[in-house]
Amino acid sequence: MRLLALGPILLLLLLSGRATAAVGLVTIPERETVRMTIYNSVDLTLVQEARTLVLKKGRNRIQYQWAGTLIDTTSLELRALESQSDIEIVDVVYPPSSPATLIWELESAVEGPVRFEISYFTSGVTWSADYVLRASAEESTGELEGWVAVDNRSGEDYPHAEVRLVVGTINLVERIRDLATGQEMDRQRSLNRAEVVDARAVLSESLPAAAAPAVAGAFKAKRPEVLSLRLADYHIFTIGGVQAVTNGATTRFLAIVTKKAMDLEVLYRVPFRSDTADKLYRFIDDAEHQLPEGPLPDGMWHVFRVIDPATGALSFSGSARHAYVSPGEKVELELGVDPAIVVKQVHEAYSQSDHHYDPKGRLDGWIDHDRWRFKLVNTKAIPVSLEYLISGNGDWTVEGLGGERRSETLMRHLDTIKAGQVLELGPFSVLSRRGARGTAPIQPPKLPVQPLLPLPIIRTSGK
Amino acid sequence: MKPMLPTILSACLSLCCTCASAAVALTTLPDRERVMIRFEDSGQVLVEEARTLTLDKGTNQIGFTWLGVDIDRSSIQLLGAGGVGFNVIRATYPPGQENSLGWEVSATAAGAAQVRISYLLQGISRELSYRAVVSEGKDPRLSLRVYQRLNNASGENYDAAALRAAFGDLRDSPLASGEIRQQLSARFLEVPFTKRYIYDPAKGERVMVDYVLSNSADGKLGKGLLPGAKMRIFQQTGQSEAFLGEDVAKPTPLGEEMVLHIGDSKDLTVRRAQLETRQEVVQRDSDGHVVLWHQLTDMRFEVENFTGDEKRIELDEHLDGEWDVANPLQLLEKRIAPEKYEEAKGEADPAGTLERKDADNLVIHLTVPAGRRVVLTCTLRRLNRH
Repeated sequence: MRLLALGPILLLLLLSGRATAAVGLVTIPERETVRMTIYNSVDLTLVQEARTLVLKKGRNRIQYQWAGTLIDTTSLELRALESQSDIEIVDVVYPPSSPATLIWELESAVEGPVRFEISYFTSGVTWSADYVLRASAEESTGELEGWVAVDNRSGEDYPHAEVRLVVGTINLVERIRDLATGQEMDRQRSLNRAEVVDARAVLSESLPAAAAPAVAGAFKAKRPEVLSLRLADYHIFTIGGVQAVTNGATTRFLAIVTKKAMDLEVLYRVPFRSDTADKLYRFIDDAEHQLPEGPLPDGMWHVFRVIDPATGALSFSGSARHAYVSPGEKVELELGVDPAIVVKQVHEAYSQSDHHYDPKGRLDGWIDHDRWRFKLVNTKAIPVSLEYLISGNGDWTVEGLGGERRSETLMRHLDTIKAGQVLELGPFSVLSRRGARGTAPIQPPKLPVQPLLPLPIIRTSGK
Repeated sequence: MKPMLPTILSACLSLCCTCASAAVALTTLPDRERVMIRFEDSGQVLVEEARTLTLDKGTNQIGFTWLGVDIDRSSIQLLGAGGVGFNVIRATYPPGQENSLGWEVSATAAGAAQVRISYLLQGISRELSYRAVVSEGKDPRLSLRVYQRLNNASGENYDAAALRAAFGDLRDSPLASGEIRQQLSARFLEVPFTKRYIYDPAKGERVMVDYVLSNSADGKLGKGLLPGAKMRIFQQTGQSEAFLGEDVAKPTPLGEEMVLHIGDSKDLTVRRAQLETRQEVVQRDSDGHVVLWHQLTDMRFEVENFTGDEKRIELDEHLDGEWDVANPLQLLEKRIAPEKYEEAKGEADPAGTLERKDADNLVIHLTVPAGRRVVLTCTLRRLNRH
């Protein structure tokens, strides 16, 4: 019973002449190398195992079992790595009485050991990235550690695996887990309990002793180098050496680290009408910011600030999830509202002008004037950047404040504020044209001049 | 049954660097040397432990296990702080052990390495509160104390911990599991304040009393952001104190006012009346229908001061669209009989002012002498209705 959960087992059965003849077990080759290519956008891992099989001339049968795992049966492939022209896979059989089992039948013109690669898709092995950013006390620089964590819930141990991690969005028409579990269920439906017991008994007899740590020496007593390379439209991280990808365990590797402290920009984003400033750390994923070449995969960022450089004591600034960052793209980490930045926006006044009437004298257009003032107090000991986002709708413009139109409803004003300084903007007006447009307005009646406030009240007594 | 004590353990194992298959041996189980607990304004609590590990040259395995405490696993960091240098090779969360983490580190030499292990811990909380006492006399001042109440429900005992917070000073002290400890964190004396009387029809027929403090050097505060917290205000009465009221203060940055609503005034009354509403036509269409007009509302405010002191009051009016105020007139009256008043001729009558606070709010500032009534009439004009 225990053995059924132990993952892929390879049996080599040699057929002498006729495929139906029963033959004895000849050898159970160990994995020589395993390469795991793990995708993060979908629950998919490509496993490529190299094994050496001892063939005889003629028909050979190779049995492969993967009970208790999440392997997609349809993806299983056997490929000779040498003598390809002398070896032909002629049939693949899924025996009706054996769950999670297939038999490759191949014709070989050679005899002796031949290296093969068995590859398959499995689900249950995933990877994710997470980051630790430690800003300096004055928040002008920061040190970044980017980690990748490989989580194995596949049901299979890979004690000595070369690990490659793919960053990218790939298309799958079916989920590997569905394929794996669906097939398993379909096939198990036709089994009875006795057959399962028999199958497990066979496996228990044939299971090899625990694999010797043939490649244990490949574990390096130093941090594995993590290389980032472009792969078609994706990126691939290759973790140096071989790693233990143990079922049920999560292992984190340091993948990205700044060569030295990088420059940080402290940016405050203030939405229109809001009296709070959202703090962001901003930097570019490039060599100038001491980052190795390559993207920053999406993941959770934990941000700290060194509050005492002498002891290295930290303060926790916040956590933020950030999407994938292409090489050369900017990183913006949202750290929430910072009370050290005081913002006040006052909607000072509203008025209308340019009333327009149709030929029947009905009002069909006018302009709304909304007058605003903006004030930001930087109580911090560092200069900060401001991104002020003014929003409007319809046909609108802003007078009295510069900025860049970012969309139909958004204008962005950028500024910088020195330490301890106050920035005041305005008064500026948002002009919104309502109703009819494009024709010269009919001059409306002269409106009375509005008194300016504050206004003294006329006293009628006590003079 | 003896309860299992929740514990954070750290075990250091050294791994023979020449042969990965060699058995690992436990070399040391270092105690925490120092602990710093930092209470962030966000409510998160960051714990930093200083420990000394004895490392062998080459690869070492460090186990970190926590029982009965809730640590954010993804926040755990191991950082070198002195001694033998090392690199973290990998971190492993073993199968079936949610409360365990193993670091594999590579040391450049054998010897002691000072490390800091930091993590976010759940279950420890901090609550701030203010206590203000108003002094007696003509020019009353506040003595303001800020307390931080620390509640350790994390399940972890801290025999001695350096306590830090973004606001105020905390004294280093033990913080046992289940313990609540309140510390005086800051003290401000002789703090000037003003009383503000506000009438807002949206909040009912009452005059609210606010105490206003200035978070500035002149306001005897001004050391940084004053965090938001509940404030209880007491009045010094000889040797004892009387409770005046409480409010939740909003976080107040430097240079801003902290406004505390402590109750209502019964001796300053306001009667607000909408006397008449009429329309002023601006434009008619060809069929004679009104298409643009102003709406005019005549208002009357009666503010009576039953105290022996002059009071300043703010009357709030909420308006929308385009508006202004016309014909503001103020009359000072004295009561000659119940419900009967006459003009208080020859008495000092400070003129009120109108303030457009913003596009939607008018504030009428009035000063009402002791025992007098001020009557204000005006016309609110809502312009360009259509």
